[in-house]
Amino acid sequence: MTSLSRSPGKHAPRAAASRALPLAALVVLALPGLLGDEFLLRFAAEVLLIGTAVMSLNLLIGSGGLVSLGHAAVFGVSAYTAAIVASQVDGNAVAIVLAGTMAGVAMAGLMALVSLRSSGLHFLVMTLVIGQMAWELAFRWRELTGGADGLRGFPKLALGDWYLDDALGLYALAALTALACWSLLRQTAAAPLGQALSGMRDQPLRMTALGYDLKRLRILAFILTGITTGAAGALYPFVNQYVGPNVVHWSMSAAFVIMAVLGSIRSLVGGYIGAALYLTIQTYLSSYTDRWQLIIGILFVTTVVFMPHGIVQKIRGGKTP
Amino acid sequence: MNDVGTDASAMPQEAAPILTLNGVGKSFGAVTVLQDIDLDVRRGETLGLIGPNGAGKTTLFNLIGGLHAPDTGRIRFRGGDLAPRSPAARARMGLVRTFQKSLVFPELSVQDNIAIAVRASQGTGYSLRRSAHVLARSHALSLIDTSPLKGRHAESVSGLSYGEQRIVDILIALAQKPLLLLLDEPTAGLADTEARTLLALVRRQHARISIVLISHDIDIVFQTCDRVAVLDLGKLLVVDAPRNVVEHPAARAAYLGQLSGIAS
Amino acid sequence: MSYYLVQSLNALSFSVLLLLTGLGLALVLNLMNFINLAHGSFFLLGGYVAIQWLASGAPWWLAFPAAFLLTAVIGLVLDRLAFARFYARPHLMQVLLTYGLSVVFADLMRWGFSADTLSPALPAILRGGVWIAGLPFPSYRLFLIGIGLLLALTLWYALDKTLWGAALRACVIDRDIVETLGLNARKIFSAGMALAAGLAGLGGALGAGMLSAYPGLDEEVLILALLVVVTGGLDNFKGTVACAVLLGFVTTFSRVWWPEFANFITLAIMAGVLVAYPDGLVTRGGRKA
Repeated sequence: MTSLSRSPGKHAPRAAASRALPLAALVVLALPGLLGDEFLLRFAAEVLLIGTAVMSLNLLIGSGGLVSLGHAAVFGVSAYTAAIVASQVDGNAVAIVLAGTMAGVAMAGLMALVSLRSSGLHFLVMTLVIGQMAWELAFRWRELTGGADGLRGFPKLALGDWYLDDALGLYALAALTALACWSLLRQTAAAPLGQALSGMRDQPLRMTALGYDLKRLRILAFILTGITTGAAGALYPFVNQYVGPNVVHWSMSAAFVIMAVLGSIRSLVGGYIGAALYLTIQTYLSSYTDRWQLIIGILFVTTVVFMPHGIVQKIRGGKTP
Repeated sequence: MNDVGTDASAMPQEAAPILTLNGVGKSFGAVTVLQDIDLDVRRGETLGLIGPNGAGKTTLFNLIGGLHAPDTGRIRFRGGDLAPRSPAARARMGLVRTFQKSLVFPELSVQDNIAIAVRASQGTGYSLRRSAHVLARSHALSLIDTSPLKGRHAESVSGLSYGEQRIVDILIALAQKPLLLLLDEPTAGLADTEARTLLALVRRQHARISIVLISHDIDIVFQTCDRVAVLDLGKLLVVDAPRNVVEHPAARAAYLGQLSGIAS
Repeated sequence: MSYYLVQSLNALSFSVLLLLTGLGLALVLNLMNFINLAHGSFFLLGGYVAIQWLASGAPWWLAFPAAFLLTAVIGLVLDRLAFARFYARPHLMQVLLTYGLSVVFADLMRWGFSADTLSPALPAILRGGVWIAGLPFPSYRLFLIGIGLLLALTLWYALDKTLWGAALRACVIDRDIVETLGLNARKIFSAGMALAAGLAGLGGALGAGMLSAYPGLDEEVLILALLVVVTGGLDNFKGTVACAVLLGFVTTFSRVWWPEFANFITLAIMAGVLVAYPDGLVTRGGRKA
């Protein structure tokens, strides 16, 4: 479990666990591959991709309360870009992921620039508005995005002659992407930039007095999250060969925030855990009852009231410092 | 109006002052906090800034540091006008300040608290490379080893006492390689010995930096400062060597005899 | 020319609804520093209540006070049961709590009132239209404008001229001082929450005749209310009024000129305002504490 700002080497057992983490991750990731069930593989792929987006959101929130209600727009814009580009490049996976990532960076960069002077509630509403602007386009620009129906019928992913249209291939790609994104953000947390971002959260006045440009830090945080969210978003349409405007809507952004908190904001892996929890409950419940949103809502409110620091924090034992 | 002492201090008269304030004034709404401040800080000197509560001392620091813009007047640092420069830019120019509270990073170790400042001065604060992180930490370590916190660099800052956190606070400021250091009540709440250690630490690190020191501890001010500026109700009453300030009638009136008991 | 007059009246009637909802949101934000994302739910509930009331045959003019009272009571209950201990918590926690509750309320309302779009059975006096400068204009919207002005004046009078209003204003300016003045902060907060919820419910009840009621309206109204409050400036009510009018006009006229992408244009304009005025269009100024 990598925290965004802990001093490296502070506690020997934790450091050892930290080093063993990538190995554990590989084992966990290999599991669904071994089980081989088609539905499970696609579901696991979705969890990994959404989890990556949530982990990226964690970085933003951990950089100073930048609670974005527009993060789904970054994810969704990348997804739509990937689906649209797919037809142009015959499913070339590399080109698609590249295009999606760039779209994610562009969208995140736009959000950064527009919200540069905002914080708190102002930031929340600013990101909400930008995200909804993206949704309006996705919902109404039929020629480009398919409108309310979304996009279907775009080519499947391909690497050269090798088609990744089976569930296992897709899952492998999603797992690789998730691992790469996680490594990137983990590296960031341990690097000067990560320390600066959590410094910005804890002592913005001091950071300024030290000579740090807080606006530049914010933009860097957004760009980083744009890369990881964009890469994950690029693969999202290929989970079910479909992408629709729902994935851009602010309610999806709110779901991301819920997943982030469920997993714990202070842990990178928490993003994946929160996504797994939320999506599992959602999938399981919606097949049993029409009132699944009610139940998820009640569950979530209960969590917020009794376990405000998230599940990972509870397991770690103790409150966030 | 202020009296600038004609007493030739022991300081050699160096080149232009490192900081110059001309006619600086600041109001917040209907309240005038500072009026017509003319002040020089000479290179290498320690200038004490004293005055009753509400006199405007911290506001003056906020103006110099760039948190607020003055309504009137100009502030020059090393000859250049500070007006267009943001607080972060001023810090990067070597104009470093501390705050009344110790603003330390609670989740980091002592070493990492200072490393953040080291990286700021080295320009590697935004790097994604761990090597820059490692380099900064070793610089921080050598700084810590010169302080009472030697050997405790790995401890979490949140577990330190008030006085120890103050030391970390000062070390952070020193790690920025300041040319002008603005210390806002650095020894408040500290025991006498702790206070002296702190100030000795500053002096030892940078024998030639210029310091402006706000303090309510008159003893400390008069023992460590080359000159003392007295601020009262937003106006500068006198800027002179300590022994002259003690004699100054307006300063005595403002501080109501607090100065009178001090041997010059 | 007369077309623009009619559209301006349309805009004004929408502004009334935005003002009522926005004021409630601004009230809890300023009074208790509480972000309530369930505010839209109160609006929608008020709409459903008015529709049920008007369909039941009871005196039509009581529909609106009834909606106000019901939502105010619910607001009070929520304050006691859930919100109060979150007033001191960080905003993120408040966002999570109230968003979660809004999801719960939305589904409960979908369950209770169905997913259909419902419209109120308006009394004869409010149905139909009048002729304004040669163009037809719904009487209901004139009614809205009239009521809106009346309510705004009443609220202004209550806030400005009564002791209770003075206490409320004092609390808004300095929360901590309130206790030292011997006022019971808890009671004032509860009253504030109830009033805010009631205002939203009233807005929804009045709005049902113009917007109808359907699942999803709560979300749409929430966004609008947030915009009104944030662009207006968080620490004063004048800004809320100004922005309710602004948003009403922007929404209406973008529908007139670019019907297909009206929402996109509205959001873009409001985003521009947000960027240009990070502290709000109208601020109180002075030294920030």
